[in-house]
Formats: sequence, structure tokens, C-alpha cells
Amino acid sequence: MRRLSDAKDYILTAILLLLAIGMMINRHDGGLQNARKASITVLSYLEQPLSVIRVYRQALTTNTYLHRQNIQLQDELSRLRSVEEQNRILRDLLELRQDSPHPVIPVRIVAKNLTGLNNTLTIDAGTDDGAEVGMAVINSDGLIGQIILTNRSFSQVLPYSNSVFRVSATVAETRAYGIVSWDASALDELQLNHIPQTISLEIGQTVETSGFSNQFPPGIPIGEIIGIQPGDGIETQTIQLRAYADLFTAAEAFIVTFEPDSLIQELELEQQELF
Amino acid sequence: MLAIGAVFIQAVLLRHLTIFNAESDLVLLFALWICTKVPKTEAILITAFAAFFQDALTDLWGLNLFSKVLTVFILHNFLSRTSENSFLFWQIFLIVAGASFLHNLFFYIVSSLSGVFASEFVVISLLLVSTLFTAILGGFLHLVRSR
Repeated sequence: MRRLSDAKDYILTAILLLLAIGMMINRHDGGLQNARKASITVLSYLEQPLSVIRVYRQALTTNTYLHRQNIQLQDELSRLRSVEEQNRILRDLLELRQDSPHPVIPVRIVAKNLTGLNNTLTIDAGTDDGAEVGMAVINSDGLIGQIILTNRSFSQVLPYSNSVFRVSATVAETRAYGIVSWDASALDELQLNHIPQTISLEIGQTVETSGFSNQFPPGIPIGEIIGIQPGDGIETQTIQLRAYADLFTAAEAFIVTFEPDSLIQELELEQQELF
Repeated sequence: MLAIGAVFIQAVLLRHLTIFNAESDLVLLFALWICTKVPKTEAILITAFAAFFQDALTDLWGLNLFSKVLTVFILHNFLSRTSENSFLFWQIFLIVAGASFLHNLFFYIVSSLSGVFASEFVVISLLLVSTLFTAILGGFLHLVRSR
């Protein structure tokens, strides 16, 4: 009886195995196409409710991926903005260099002391680069200051926002001359003095170097007029300027290799000896 | 009904829960369990029925039928003999791992011989990871059932 049962199991197993092999071969030969279509249909119906879960899981994965991408793109955008700004500044400087009637030396501002008490700047050009005491330092916006100290590699610049800074200036539209100085009211505000009250000035007019002091070449923009006040008890007016060059954001600049006319200097010395 | 339920769970749910492209095999666990409950002939028939549906739903026509029927045919005597004992987790784990390895070996051989499937691509995941995965699932179900 047991042998019969074992034989039955053997036969059954053999039949099933042969059936399985037949299915494999028929599948390979395309004999089960209809059954495969039916099974795919059934499976699709069964999996349809679960597709929502898969979509949700995929959405979570996509969300994480997009979040990471967003951070990377924000970072890249920030860097591109910085590069764009630097590019604009460098282009302006390049144009300035090409337009300037005097040879200029490109420099980088390596240190700033703009606390207000004794404002100074340090640039990475010294005597080896052609920098000399007295030369003007400008950028594409306008006058920054004047070199007051140099060594072989670096120079110290007296910016316009220093209480000892003075420059002979003119209002471009009227040819009225005066002296620009810093009145310590704000870091970017200057004062233009010694212009007679008889000369009519307007807000927004441009003030630039006059060239009369024999220290700066003429025509370097300094700032624009933002306020005009008549001087008390005197015949001149006090003019408030806003400097064009922003000392806080300036990172690159040019030294204007303007050398004072020696004949004029000799004449001034002779005049001082006379009086 | 249990067979159909196991096949549906396998085809719809467990098929998507993969580790290193390996999936656990609930239908095999069902086949091993059925070996401890019914005589050999019935066990082979029920397993064949479940394996056929599994093949149909996973488009692996004949592979599961062949390997599962052969596994049940070989292991039925051993499983039915030892079913009277109560097992610890690791014992169940080892038994299921051995059975799963045997099943997956048959599966691999027959799929390689048929030449239709890229069996060499899944040899490690099939013989190793899937075996362990199925053994872990079997041990877990044993723990749940015993409590």
C-alpha cells in the first residue's frame, strides 16, 4: 500500500515536472500568449490599488531629490550672481582703463580701515609696480583717494572719507571751483567749499577734480550735489556731495600714474620763497 | 484559499519588497507549512496549484511549478516527520534556509537550462539573499504564529 502511494507521488511529481517543462518551452515558443495576456490583466487589476502607494513613495523620493537639487541650484545661483557682479566691475574697470588719458595701474584693495576715526585703505601695489606717493586712486565710479605711503609691494591710500583729505574740484556744469573735504557726517558724504553764492548750482550736478592742485589729473568724477546751503556770514556756499565711489564695496581700483608738472611745482616753490 | 491568498500577497506585495533585487517567497513558506499538515500527494497538488498561479502572475511559466514541486517532493518526508516537535527561531530559520536554498537552486538550474531568463545576473541575489530573506520571513511568521 505504501509502495503504491509512493509510486503515485512519483508519477504525480513526474507529470507536474513535465508540465512545468512544457510550460517553459511553450512560453519560449509563444504558445502561452493568451494565458500571459490574461495573467497580466489580472495582475494589473490587483496592483492598481497599490499603485497609489508606489506613486506616493516615488513622490517622496522625487521630493528629496528636487530638494537637494534646489539647494545646489540656489548655491550655484548665488555664486553666479557674485561672479556676474565681479564681471561687471571688471568690465567697467577695463573700459575705464582704456578711456583714461593717463596710464593706470590695476590694483586690488587688500585691507580697509573704515571705522571713521582714521580711514585708510591698503592696495597691493608699491614702488616696484610704479606706485608713488601723491598718485590718485580711482575706480570705475570715481575718485577713491590718494596714495600717502608706499613700500615695495603695498601702498596706503588716504580715502576721500578722511578728515585730512583735500582735493581741488569743479562743478562740471558751471566750471565753479572749490575744495572738497570730508565733514565726517557720513562716510560717503563730502563737502565742497569756497564756491561763491553768486554761482547758481543745482542738486544732481557732477563734481569732478579740477586739476588745479597739480596733484590729480582733471576730470575724475568725485560725486554729485545733494544739498546746497548758503554760508553764514560769508559770501560762499556750502555744498553737500554724495561720493560716486563706494568705499565699502570697492575691491579693485586703479592708480592713476599722473605726475605733477615739475615746472608748476618749481613755480610754487619760488612763490613760497618770495612770500 | 490559503494558497491563493499566499500567491496574491506574493505577487502584489512581497514582489516589490526587494533587497539587492532579491525577494522573499511566501508561497514557498506556504508549501513548507502545508507539508507539515497534509499527506505528500495532497501537498504536492496544493503546491503545484499555488506555484502555477504564482508563475502565471509573475510570468515565469513553469519555473516555480518545477522547483516547488520538486522541493516539496524531496522535503515532505523530513518536514512531516519533524512537525511534531516545537522549534526555536533559529531552528526554523535553518530549516527554511535549507529548503529555500534547495528551491532556489532548482529554480536557478531550470531557469538557466531554459535559456529564457538572465539567471546569471541574479545568481547571488537568488541563491544567497533571497534564501536568507525567505528564512527571516519564515522565522518571523513562526514567532508570530507561536505567540
